[in-house]
Amino acid sequence: MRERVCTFGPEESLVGVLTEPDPAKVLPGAPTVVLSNVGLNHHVGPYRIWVELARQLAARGFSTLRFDLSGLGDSRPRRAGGPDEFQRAREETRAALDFLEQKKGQRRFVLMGLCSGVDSVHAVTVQDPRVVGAAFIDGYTYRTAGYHLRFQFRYLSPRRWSRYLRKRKLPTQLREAGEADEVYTREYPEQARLMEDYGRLLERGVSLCFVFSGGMGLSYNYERQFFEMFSPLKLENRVTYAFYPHADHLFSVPDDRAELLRKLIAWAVGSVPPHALTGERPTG
Amino acid sequence: MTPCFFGSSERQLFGMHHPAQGAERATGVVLCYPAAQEYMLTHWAFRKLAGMLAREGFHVFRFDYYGTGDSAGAVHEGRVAEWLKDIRHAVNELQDLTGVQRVSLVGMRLGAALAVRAAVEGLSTAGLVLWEPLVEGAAYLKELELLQTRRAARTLFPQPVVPLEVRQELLGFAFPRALHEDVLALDLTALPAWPSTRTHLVTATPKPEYERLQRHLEATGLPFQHHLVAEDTGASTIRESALLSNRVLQTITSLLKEAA
Repeated sequence: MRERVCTFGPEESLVGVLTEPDPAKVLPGAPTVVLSNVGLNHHVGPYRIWVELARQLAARGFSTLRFDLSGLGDSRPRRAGGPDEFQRAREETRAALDFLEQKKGQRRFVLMGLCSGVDSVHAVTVQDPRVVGAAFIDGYTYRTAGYHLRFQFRYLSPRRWSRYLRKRKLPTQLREAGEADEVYTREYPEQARLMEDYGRLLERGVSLCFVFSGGMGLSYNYERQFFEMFSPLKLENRVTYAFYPHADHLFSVPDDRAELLRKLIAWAVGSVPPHALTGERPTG
Repeated sequence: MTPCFFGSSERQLFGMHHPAQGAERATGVVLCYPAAQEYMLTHWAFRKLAGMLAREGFHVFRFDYYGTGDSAGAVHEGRVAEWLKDIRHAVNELQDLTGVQRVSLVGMRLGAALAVRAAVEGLSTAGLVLWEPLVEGAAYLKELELLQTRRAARTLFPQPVVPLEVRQELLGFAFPRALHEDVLALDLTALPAWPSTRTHLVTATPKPEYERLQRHLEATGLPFQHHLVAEDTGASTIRESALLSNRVLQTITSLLKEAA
């Protein structure tokens, strides 16, 4: 495995680290994986998750670029980037693909995003035909009838009562500290538009992976909710899906993180066309 | 900002050089991050501090210790002795890159204790800034374990059945027994005087451990000052809101300017 620093993009403002497998271990046909910020966390990712993912992917023959969007982490703010943060994120993600295409000859990419990172992953996957796979971790959710039903029954959960009792035992200062941290909101695209996008991506042959954690409990609370949110598309067996109700939003417990990484890596390996693995040429 | 990997190819470390802007000062600054969870929370503050110092004419270098950030190695491979070597490599790297003869160290929490240990072990420094330092390893670990308890109490997620000390992790990161022992052995109040021209202690609140450190340093005769810097937000512990505070960054910048 080899890791190198890269600077690229508009005004050469973007900084990233490219992890490449040993030449003997390169997986033929493997797309290059591109990762960027999770919220305000720099390109290392929360709990170093992107570094671990990149290195484990390298062991399976994939190259991965993890980079900071302009003004975040180690990347400089752009002088002429415009005020629209979302637009900049899209441009810069595409700039990462252009860079990898120009410098490394890569033409197929997989994007992965967690939480707010999902926004640019979704938009670029829809726009750019070079993207052959996209993983959305704690991405867009819509409350369903099943969600509301379970939400009403939440006070019957023994876990909720045991938390209440645990908190009562804490010193007052610790009990109150950080309560405000839990307030967080995001704007999601309209459900109908998202369904159209997913439909088009599947027609295009893009491999999709959706992962939800228990940290999305305020809008996502049962295994089948994902398929019910997009029921007209009948996504069962058409996408890779996992729900980890025991994991928090940032997968802060190492075992939860390891499970997530295993899932993502298995999906990435599965997204490599079989003809590439066997060395056969595609037909038709 | 110029990113780089430095050190040997098997053990490469990620560094970021912030070149001096305007008239260059003869003294450079190496920033020593805290570890693990605190590294995640403070990365932005360190980038901001590096930029402020560079604008004042300092060449600044920040870097990830082995097994942290973008540097080589896994989290569980982190050891204090290795991180001390990393600080020395980072100082050499800054000197090689820029030609600065003397280097000050700014360290936060565990990074401050590492900076002091590096100076005690012979690293020549123009000055030390100890920002909310770890003074005694035992108290530091107790504080982190308390945070872990709070996290476990507030969460709805079932906690792993195996206890933390068996799982050898803390606040979301691997924390092997060897590193635990290393940190436990750190005690700045038990160290001999270090050959530094000036040591600054920068903290948001007074604490008994800071007073003990102050008394110890006064007894050794080292030039030493304690600066209490009230945070903008009134936060009293290491939290994100506190780490976005500008006042403490301005104080550190001013102290290094005065000393250079």
